[in-house]
Amino acid sequence: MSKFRIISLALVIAVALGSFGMALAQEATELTLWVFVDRHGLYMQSQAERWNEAHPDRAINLTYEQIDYTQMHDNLLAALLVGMGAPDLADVEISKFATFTKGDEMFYPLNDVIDPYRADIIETRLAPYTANGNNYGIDYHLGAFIMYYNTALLNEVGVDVNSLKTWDDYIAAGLEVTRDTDGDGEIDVHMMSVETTGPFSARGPMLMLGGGAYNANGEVILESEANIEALQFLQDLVHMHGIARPATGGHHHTPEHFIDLVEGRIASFYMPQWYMTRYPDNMASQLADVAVIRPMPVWEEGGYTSTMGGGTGTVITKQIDPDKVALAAEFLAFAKLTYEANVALWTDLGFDPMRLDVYDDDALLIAMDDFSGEVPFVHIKEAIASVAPEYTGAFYPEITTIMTTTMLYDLIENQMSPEEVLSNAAEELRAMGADF
Amino acid sequence: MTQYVNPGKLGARRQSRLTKWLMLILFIFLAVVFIFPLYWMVISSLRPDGRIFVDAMEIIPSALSLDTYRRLFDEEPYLTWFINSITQTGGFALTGVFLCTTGGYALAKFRFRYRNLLFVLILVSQMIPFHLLIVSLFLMIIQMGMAETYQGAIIPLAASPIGIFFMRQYMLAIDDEMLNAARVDGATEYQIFWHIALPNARPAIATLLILFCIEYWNNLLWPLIVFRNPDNFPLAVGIKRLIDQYRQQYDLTMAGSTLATVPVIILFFFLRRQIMEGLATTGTGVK
Amino acid sequence: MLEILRMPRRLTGSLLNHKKVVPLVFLAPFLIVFLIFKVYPVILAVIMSFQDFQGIKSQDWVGLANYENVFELARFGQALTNTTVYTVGTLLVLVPLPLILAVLLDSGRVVASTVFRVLIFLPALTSLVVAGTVFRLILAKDGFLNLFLEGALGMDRLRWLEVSELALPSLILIATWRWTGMNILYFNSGLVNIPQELYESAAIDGASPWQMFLRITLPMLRPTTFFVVVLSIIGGYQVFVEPFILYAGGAGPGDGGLTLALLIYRTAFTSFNFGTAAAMGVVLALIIFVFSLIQFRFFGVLGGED
Repeated sequence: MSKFRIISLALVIAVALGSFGMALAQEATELTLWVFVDRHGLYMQSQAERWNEAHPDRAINLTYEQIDYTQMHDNLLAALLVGMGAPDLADVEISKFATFTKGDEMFYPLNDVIDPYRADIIETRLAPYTANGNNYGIDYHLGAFIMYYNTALLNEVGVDVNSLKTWDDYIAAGLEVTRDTDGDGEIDVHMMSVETTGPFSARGPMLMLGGGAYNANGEVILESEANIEALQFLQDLVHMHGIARPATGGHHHTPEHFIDLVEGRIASFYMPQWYMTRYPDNMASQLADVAVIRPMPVWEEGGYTSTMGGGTGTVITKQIDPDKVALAAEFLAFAKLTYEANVALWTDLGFDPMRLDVYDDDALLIAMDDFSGEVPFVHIKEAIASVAPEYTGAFYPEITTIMTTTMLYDLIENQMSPEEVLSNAAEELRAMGADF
Repeated sequence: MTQYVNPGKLGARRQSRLTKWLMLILFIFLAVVFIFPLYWMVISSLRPDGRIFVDAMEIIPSALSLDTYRRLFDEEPYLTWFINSITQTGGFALTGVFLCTTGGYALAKFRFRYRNLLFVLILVSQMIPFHLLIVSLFLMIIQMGMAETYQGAIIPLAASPIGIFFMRQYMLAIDDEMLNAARVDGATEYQIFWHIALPNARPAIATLLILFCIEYWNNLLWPLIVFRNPDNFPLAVGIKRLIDQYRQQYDLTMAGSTLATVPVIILFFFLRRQIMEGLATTGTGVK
Repeated sequence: MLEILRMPRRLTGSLLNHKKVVPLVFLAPFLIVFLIFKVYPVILAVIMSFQDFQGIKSQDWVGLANYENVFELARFGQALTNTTVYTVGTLLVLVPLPLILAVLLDSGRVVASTVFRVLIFLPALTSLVVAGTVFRLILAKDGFLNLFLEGALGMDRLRWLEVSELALPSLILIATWRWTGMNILYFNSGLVNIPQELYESAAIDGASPWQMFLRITLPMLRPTTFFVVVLSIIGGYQVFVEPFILYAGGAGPGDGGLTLALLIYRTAFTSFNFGTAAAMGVVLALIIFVFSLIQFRFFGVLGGED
């Protein structure tokens, strides 16, 4: 062995040892996260591991705490108000977000880290977490509205689920499906259930017909023609056509509604994509052989095929150490917007991703036993062909509250006119200080 | 229980067997109605995986399984929550009883200026809606370094207006002459409290201990504010956590609650005489 | 602590034993905790009710604006009515029912009365999370309550959870389930304290059990009744957890179960309007306060002590 070789070997060892020493010296950055869904926390941790593999020099150590939904938002708000006690990152649910935009700025804008991905994602998905032109949060999913059917109840009266393309088709079929099966004079099977104390049954049509709570300019559009049309449509399904009824217990997450579904009393309803997880979780896969999902019927050719429902945006709070902001923001984009992350959002969490290019990935195109062995993403992809955007604003939480307490109840149960319930809601909002 | 006669007892001698049977039937019916939700909680926790709603209307279950309990211990830090609950509940009950016993004694047995005003103020404070105080309390807990600590969970609630009211009522019933006799014998007020008042108040103290235990064991709101780390959760908070917006583990909730309810019921069963005598001798009697 | 208490007089010095100091020493532990964790936050909240509170850094004085706001909100009137109906409802059920049951259980006509007392008490020991879930299934349209009412009384099935008008009755039903046993225990404790001589002499005078109930039992139970009534009013006006759990954070169909505490909560944490929420809380506290004062007068609890 020549001298040269020994020296170079020594050098290599020295460099190796040196860099090892450097790696030891560079400790992972600690980041804390609050979530209200445990699986969100686990997901973010697995994304942190992926980040550390890709960026060993800028490693992070993410710890999360799961707190009950209501309490987490209350605690977060209180902590941000008093100026201490908040985590670095936090999940904020869509209907709670606007509450955090009312006082001083509480979150860091994420525009810069989102910019590189804007072309790849359904950008309007950022709208609910946007205020004053700043994107403050990134969601876990798209939450596309889809139709959930019980094919057995359709087949009994000879209706093919694939034939239901427009609402006219749907209503015609609904008149067949809705019936008294045992002849006691009471209707046993309804084509559809609608929420009266939940927001989704109304919000879907409102958004897809061009209405909603706010428009792109941040103006309250509660009394718009589109909303009147949407609520009239909903009321007609129940009272004019008689093919729909209020969900037992008022919304689609009550134990009673799950029983209704399992007992075959409801042939269909629409909810966001994430409702798919309820079939194994709450209904013991009892409907595995008859449940399918399809895009929602359309009002007219070329209209919106879906919209977005629910959601949770991860934000960076103002109480993070300022030195960590850049790293946390980059990590957040990495964990929510990269291709791999969007595949993982489906494989880990069962959510529909907001990046369009992953919809052809093999990982998504799998058959599911819980949905009659079909490949759900074939239909989800079809559904998201044109997704109506949802805009929010300062009074979005109040609007949701009014919708789910009195507005839809008055519309469906008390049969008040859409104009009346919407103007009542608008009046109440103005009394709360909304200016529109 | 105790020797006393009330109108029923006098009348009882004249009562026919029929009345006794009717009473028995009435109370069996009432007991069934009151126990039914608890029974349902227990059978729901024993339903096979995922069948909690599917089989909800089966009053007599056709299939039973301990799977849910196994999952409860495998997937959740249930044992930790359980131990936390016992420690926190014990700490809370002892602290609360100490504060309320000494305070109640002072309110009942000493005359001092503003005593009644103070008493009314304390009672009135019970009427203040808790949610009004959340923001201020949360701020205080953080500033005092009491977040995530047992002190933070225990102390702020321990000055219970109902508790001091209860002890005051009890202490009022203690014979003043007994205390005065001790004073004449030269005992200090603290000796009198320790040697006379406390032993006499034993049933009330036991009762209050148990009432405090029950209160904390099922308390949801306050521990949720103090604790965020699941390793510190008491049972009620841990169980509440099993149901969230995206995953509603009603089955685990039922199993967790069954196990959480059992100790309280056992405790109550063993101490029911004590509780009833405590309540009885206190009389909750306002003079 | 306790060692100090046991020390003989000469060691603890005269100050601690001074007539005016002793009550303070006994009161101090309770009072300190009470002042810090009850009184101080209340003062903060009252201050907040005159402010536009947007965080620790920005609080502007707004005078009575928050209070004006409170009475402009339609839901405040609704919540006030709901809460009052609920409180009166619980009073109408949870005072007479436990009283009668307690007297019956005490009458010696019930076999194994202690067992029944314990069984009826058990709901008070159950967590409300479970009560919420279980009662949703019991109150459902095809649930057990309707099956029972239909089978036993031939009534039509009611939509307990879906109709606004039935929200308060549902909540009163849950309160009855939960607190009947507790109130039986309270009344039982009062019954035990009634001197037996009263009944004996009444019996000698030839009084019927019904007369004895009216002339002896009821008047002698007045202190206990006072206690139960005050507890029910305070609990009733503050009711929060029952609707919160039954309606998963909401207030039931058409806000039929909206209570003041829920509205305060919603105003603070949904609308971010701590000032108005605080003002509501102050109004609520005043209402309960006035009610209780009337109570105190009625039962003479403060009479002639000083």
